[in-house]
Amino acid sequence: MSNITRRNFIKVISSSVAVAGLAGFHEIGLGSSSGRVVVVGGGYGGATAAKYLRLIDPNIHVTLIEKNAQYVSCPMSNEVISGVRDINSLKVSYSTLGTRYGINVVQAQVTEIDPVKKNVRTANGQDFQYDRLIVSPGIDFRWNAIDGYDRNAVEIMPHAWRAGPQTLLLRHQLEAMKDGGVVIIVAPPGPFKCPPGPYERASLIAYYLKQHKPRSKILILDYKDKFSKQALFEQGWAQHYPGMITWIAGSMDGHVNRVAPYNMKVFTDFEEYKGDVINVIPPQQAGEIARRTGLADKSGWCPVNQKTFESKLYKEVHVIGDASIAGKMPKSAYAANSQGKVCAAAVAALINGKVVEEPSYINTCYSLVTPKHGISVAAVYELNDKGRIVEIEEAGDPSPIEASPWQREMEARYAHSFLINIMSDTFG
Amino acid sequence: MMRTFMFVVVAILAGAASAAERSASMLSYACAGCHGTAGASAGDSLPILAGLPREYLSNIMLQYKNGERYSTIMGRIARGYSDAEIDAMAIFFEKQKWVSAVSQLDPKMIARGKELHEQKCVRCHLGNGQYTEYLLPRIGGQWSDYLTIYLKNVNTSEFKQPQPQLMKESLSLLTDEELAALAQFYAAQQ
Ligand SMILES: Cc1cc2nc3c(=O)[nH]c(=O)nc-3n(C[C@H](O)[C@H](O)[C@H](O)COP(=O)(O)OP(=O)(O)OC[C@H]3O[C@@H](n4cnc5c(N)ncnc54)[C@H](O)[C@@H]3O)c2cc1C
Ligand code: HEC
Ligand code: HEC
Repeated sequence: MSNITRRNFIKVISSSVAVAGLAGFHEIGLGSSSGRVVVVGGGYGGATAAKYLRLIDPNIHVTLIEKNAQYVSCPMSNEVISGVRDINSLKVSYSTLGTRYGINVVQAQVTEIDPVKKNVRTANGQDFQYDRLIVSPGIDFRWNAIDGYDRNAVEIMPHAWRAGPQTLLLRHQLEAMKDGGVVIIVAPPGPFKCPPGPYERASLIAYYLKQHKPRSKILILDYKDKFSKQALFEQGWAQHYPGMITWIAGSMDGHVNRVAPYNMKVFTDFEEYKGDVINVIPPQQAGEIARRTGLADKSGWCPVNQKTFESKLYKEVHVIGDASIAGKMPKSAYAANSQGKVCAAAVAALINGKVVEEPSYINTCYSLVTPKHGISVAAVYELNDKGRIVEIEEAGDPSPIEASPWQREMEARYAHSFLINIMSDTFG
Repeated sequence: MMRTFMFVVVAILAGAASAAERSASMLSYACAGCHGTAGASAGDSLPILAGLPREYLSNIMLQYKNGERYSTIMGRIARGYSDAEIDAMAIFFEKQKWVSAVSQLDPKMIARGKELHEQKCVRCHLGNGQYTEYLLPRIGGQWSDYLTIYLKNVNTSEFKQPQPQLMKESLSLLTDEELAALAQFYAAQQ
C-alpha cells in the first residue's frame, strides 16, 4: 500500500475548468501583442472560437456579438418535437463566456461589416474595430426556392430548423393532430445544416405517433436520391415503425416546388399531397450578414482558406461553421466546434506573427432512431496538399449495420452525453 | 501487488514524429466535443480523460486503433492518427487536471459497492479507486453511467476487452446489480 504515497491524491474541490487550470493547453509561445478579435454569431462555431482564442492567448481581446440573449441548441431538438425532452435543457446563456473567459459578450444584431475599415456595426449603432474578424452566422433559408413558402407560411408549415418557437410549434401541431393523420416532411437539397437531421426527425416523430397516434403516417418528400446513414435509418424504421414512414426520392418525383399553406398542400412536378402537419425544411445558403458583406460566392456559401478559415474574398475576415465551404466536412455542430478551434489557433498565430499550425479536425453526427437506439458517423480530417479538408481514409465510417440492441442503446446514451459535452465545450 | 499488472507492458511509445506535425493541443482540442474541454467530461456516459496516465491512454487508443479493444466509436476515430500522434495526445491529457464527476447517487448502492470493492478490487484500485499510475486508470470520481457500461461490457463475452485476467475473473462472478453498485461506489469517490 506504500504505493499510494508515491503520488498525492488529487482532491478537486471545484468542478470548473478555470483558464489557469489548463496546463500545457497550447504550445505556441505567445506574444505580448494584444490584438482585437471580433466574433459575429455566438453559435457552435463562433462561441467555440471566442472561448478557445482566450484559452490559447489570454492577451487577445475578444468581443462576441450575438443577437440573441441565449442560445437554443438544434442538436437534440428533435427530441423536443417527439415530446421526450424539455426545450429548456437546450438553452444556454452567454454569461460563462464572459465571467470565466473574459470575453466581451455584446447582445446586438450586426447590420454592417466594413472589411476595408475593419469595422463592425450593430443595429443599435455601436462600432467595433478589429484586427481580425471571425464570422459564424450559420445558415439562412433560400426564401424564393419553394413557391409559396415565405415568412408567413412558416407559422403554418414550420421549418423547425432553428431551435426555439418553431420547434415548439411543430410539437404542438403534432399533439393537436388526430390519429390517422399524415405528417409531411419536405427535405432539402445539399448542402444543408445537419444532413441526417430530417431523417432523425422522421424517426422521433414516428416514436411519438407509434405510442399516441398509431394509425398515422409520415411521408418524406426529398430533393435528394440518397441521404446520410440511409441504410441505418431504413433498418431502424423497419424494426421500430414498420409501414409508418415512406420516403420518396427526388428522382421519383419527391422534389417539392410549391406549397399552399392555407390548403395544407404541397406540390411536386406531377403530384399534390395533403398533410395534417407539414414540416418544410427549405433549401439553404450562408447567413444573411455573410452574404451582404460579400463573403459568399455564387453558390451562396463562403469560400475560405481551409487551413485558417480566412475568407478568399476579404483579408483578415474568417468564416467558420455552416456558412463556410469547409471541404468534405458537413454542416454540423461538431464540425463548427472543431473549425472554431482550428480557426482560433490560426488567428492567434497570425496576430502574434507566428507560423500557422498544421490543422486537425473531427466531425461526429449522432442520430436517434428511438431515444434508446442511436447511430453515428464519425470522421477525422486533415488538409491535403491542395489545401482541401479531406477525410483520413483509415478512419471514419457509420455505425455497423449488424449491431445488437445493446450496442444501439450504448450509442444513444453516448449521444445524450455528447450533447452535454459539446454544449459545455462551446459555452461553459 | 501493484506490480502484478504492471508486467503487462506494451511497447507503446513509438517515438518517431509524423510527417504532418500536428501539435498535441491541436489534435486534442478536437476530442473535446465528446470528452469535454481538456478532457473534463460533463456527460455521464462519456469518460473523463484529464489526468489519466500517458501510458494508459496511449495503450487504450492503440488498442482501439488496432481493433484489439471493442468500441462503439473510438476505433473509427483512433484509426485517424499515427502512433506518435496518439502518444502526443496522451501526454496532453495526462497534463490536464482531473475534475471529478458530480452525479446523484444512492447511498445504499454506494455502501454495497464499498463492500464489493473491498473484497474484490481493492488490491489494484487503491485509494478507493482514486489511485492512478501507468496502466491503471483512476476510477474514483469517474462518471457512474460510463463505469456501468464498461463493467457490463467486460462481462459480455461478445466484446473484446483486454483487461487484466484477475480483474476479469473477479468481475465475471458479479451480477448486473452488483456491477451497478460498484459503479456508484467509485463515482462517489470525488
Ligand atoms: C434539427 C437539427 C438537429 C441537429 N442535430 C445536430 C447534431 O445532433 N449534431 C451536430 O453536430 N449538429 C446538429 N445540427 C446542426 C447544428 O445545429 C449546426 O450545424 C450548428 O449550429 C452550426 O453552428 P454555426 O456556428 O455555424 O451556426 P449557428 O449555431 O446557427 O449559430 C449562428 C449564430 O449567429 C447568430 N447570428 C446570425 N446573424 C447574426 C447577426 N447579423 N448579428 C448577430 N448575431 C447573428 C445567430 O443568432 C446564431 O446564434 C442540427 C441541426 C438541426 C436543425
Ligand atoms: C463521438 C464522440 C467521441 C469523440 C469525438 C472522441 N471520443 Fe473517445 N470515447 C467516446 C466513447 C463513446 C468512448 C467509449 C468507447 C466507445 O464505445 O467508443 C470513448 C472512450 C475513450 C477512451 C477510453 C477511456 C477509458 O478510460 O477507458 C479514450 C482514451 C478516448 N476515448 C480518447 C479519445 C481521444 C484522444 C479523442 C480525440 C482524438 C476522442 N476520444 C474522441 C467518444 C468519443
Ligand atoms: C489485477 C488488478 C485489478 C483488479 C483485481 C481489478 N482491476 Fe479494474 N482495472 C485494472 C487495470 C489494469 C485496468 C485498466 C485496464 C484496461 O486497460 O482496460 C482496470 C480498469 C478498470 C475499469 C475501467 C476504467 C476506465 O476508465 O475505463 C473499471 C471500471 C474497473 N477497472 C473496475 C474494477 C472493479 C469493479 C474491480 C473489482 C471487481 C476491478 N476493477 C478489479 C486492474 C484491476
